[in-house]
Amino acid sequence: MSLGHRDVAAPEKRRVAGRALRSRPATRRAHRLRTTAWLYLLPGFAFYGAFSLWPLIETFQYSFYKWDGITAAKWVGLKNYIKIFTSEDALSTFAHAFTFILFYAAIPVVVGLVIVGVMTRVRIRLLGLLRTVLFIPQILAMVVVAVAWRWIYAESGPINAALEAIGLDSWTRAWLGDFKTALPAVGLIGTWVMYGLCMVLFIGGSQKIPRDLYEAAKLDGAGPFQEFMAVTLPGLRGEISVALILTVTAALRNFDIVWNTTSGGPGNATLIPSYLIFEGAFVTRQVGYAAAASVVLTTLILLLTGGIQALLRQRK
Amino acid sequence: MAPFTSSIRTFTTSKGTSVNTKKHRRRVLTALVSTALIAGLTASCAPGSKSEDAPPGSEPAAPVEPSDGAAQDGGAGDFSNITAPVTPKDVAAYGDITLSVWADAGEETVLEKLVPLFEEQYPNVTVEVTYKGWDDLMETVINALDSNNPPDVANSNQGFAMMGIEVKAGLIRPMDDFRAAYGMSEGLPESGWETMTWNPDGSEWGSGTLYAIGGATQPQGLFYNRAKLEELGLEPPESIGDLDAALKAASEAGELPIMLGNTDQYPLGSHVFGIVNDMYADPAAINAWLAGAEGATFDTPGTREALTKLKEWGESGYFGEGYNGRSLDDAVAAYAKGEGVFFLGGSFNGAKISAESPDGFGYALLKATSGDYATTGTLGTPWTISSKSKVPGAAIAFLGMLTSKDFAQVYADEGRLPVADLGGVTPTGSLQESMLVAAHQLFEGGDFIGFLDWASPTMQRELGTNAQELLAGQIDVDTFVANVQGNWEEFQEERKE
Repeated sequence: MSLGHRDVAAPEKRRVAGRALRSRPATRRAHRLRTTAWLYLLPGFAFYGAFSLWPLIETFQYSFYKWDGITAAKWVGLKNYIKIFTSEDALSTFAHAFTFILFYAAIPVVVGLVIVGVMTRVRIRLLGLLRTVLFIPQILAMVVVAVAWRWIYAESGPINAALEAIGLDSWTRAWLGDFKTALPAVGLIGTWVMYGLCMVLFIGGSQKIPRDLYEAAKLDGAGPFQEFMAVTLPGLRGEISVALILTVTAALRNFDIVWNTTSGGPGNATLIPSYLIFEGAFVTRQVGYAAAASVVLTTLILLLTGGIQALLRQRK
Repeated sequence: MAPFTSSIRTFTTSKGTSVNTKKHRRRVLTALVSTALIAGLTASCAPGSKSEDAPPGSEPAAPVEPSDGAAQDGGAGDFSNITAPVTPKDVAAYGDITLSVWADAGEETVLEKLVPLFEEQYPNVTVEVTYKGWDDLMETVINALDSNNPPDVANSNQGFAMMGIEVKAGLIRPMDDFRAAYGMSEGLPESGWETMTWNPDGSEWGSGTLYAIGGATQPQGLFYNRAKLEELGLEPPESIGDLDAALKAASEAGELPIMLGNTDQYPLGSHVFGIVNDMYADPAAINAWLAGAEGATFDTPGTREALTKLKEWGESGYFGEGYNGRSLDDAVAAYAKGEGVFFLGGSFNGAKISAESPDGFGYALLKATSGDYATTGTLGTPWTISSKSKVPGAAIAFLGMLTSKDFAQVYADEGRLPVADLGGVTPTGSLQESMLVAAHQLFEGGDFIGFLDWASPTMQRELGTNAQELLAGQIDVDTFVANVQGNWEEFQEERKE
């Protein structure tokens, strides 16, 4: 985000530099300033390089080897990648990850927008309390969330009890253990976790939208829906972009909820890429394969988040 | 995220577009250069290459190999090939030392009793035990053994993904001398030891050098609820035929025949199916397949019969409903509280069940269709000694005490089945008594069959998912067999590369 800020300031800087052409000492000072600035960045960059960039490069390197993590590795070229793109199981994990985008990103954003749309028309009492309550899922440890939902979805859990109470006995099932319902059931946990975040972001954003825009829309005779489309939605463009990037990333690298609810089952119904990566790196000790899967997943996340930013960038 | 923020944004100035394009071009160039750099790096130095110059298995070299048996590490002797049990005097020569142990959390109750006893008898040793949950331990112990500060004693697991790598990398000490010196040969089936023997490069198991020992045997078997059997008017089953009839009777009486919790895709595909498979398939054939023998196959008439039986049980509702949504822990707890007639699983579940009701349940091994006792099991979670240990004498003494006859009763008190002195211990209740009987039957005339998930590093999940799909009617026995054999063949090919 800081980079974005720099871009906004860029034309300003060029103007300063342009003026500087006329006075040489100023150039030197500017030059020295710039060098000093880089020096300040150095410690941060060293950490970033050592703990983020270097492991990333190493992972990329591992992806071309067959390696158990301990003994000598063997160069296998693109074999690990070929294995990912030709294995039905591996490809299905990416399909599941895309399904999770629906539950982790699309639904939470829509729900968040609807709530904000309503709020711009209707005054909600105890907004602060509501915001806190809805944000709680974000703060809880995912393991806690997963254990709680495992109980909610269990054969003897509250969902089935409620269904039985209203006579829908035939609908009851072990929701996480059923081939048809496991994926949506896990997905809905993600929806529950994520929509609070989206809502808080959107409420924050909507408070920045000038009230006179709403008044103008009303004067022009806009109904609630038109008002939402013409004022609220465009006003939240930046927030929607941030929310989508966070939630899409969370959907694709989702691990803890699946790990603690279904372990990828039943069958392969909820198997996801990060599970394959973890399993390869720590359980079956196919480090090269796991690294290749990580590279594919990282690339996918970068492409998608990049795409979202390109689509939703602020036009001036 | 950062690169996108700046490269995608366009400037609003009139020259904006060109600035952006130029910037973009520079970025592409940077990307190309860094890619080339990374590629160069990638090719230059292989991960794990430190052991590349040494042939596999030779790197570790037992660190304690004084040529003349001379004193080392503060005066202790040479323990690289012991011929008699290590004595407190031998260990005292180390001076004050710390013995580091990494153990499965399931061993905690037993080790808590052992450590004070050990420290009393070996006063110069302080034992530091790190307990980890099973999965956590399996994920970290190899790296710990590979580090410069490895645990001296550690739990391991059979199979290529654990012991295979430890042997190949030379991380653990051969234990044949230990077995001989401590007299652990008598009265124990050879099949129990074979699962811990490996060839020098860790690519085959079943014969060769022993690399681990076990403390308490863990056969897979059948738990039964005594009260429920009585209600149903049934005797404890002795064979797979008896069990089949009992399941039918239980189901007809409206009881849940088998309690199962399988959210983790375990134990249906590996342990439960394993027990059924042991009933129909030839033990030697299964073990050969597990060990990766040339030409071995999962596709045998016995295994097909076992799969058909498992499917039939599932279709008859013998596992009840919702077992894929229930965790194994919850299932064991529910069973101990009286839900379900039978439970198929390892003897290690006995501790939990007997804690709830020491006399309410029984345990039995089943006679296979061949008429012999055969079941999946081992001589216990393998205990290994680091080949880099600076105090191997203390490590040996520690495991010697753990597996001694004097210590056997402690295992028994915790509801477990000690490998040493199985016949001499006093059971905690009738459940354990029946478990001791079962273990005896196995030691005397039965066969240990390996766990099916040892066959390949990914076999646990392969079996787990396929079993769920088989019982859900999504695949048939043919597909199950083809998938599992396919996984095996793929791994065999990788292994030979």
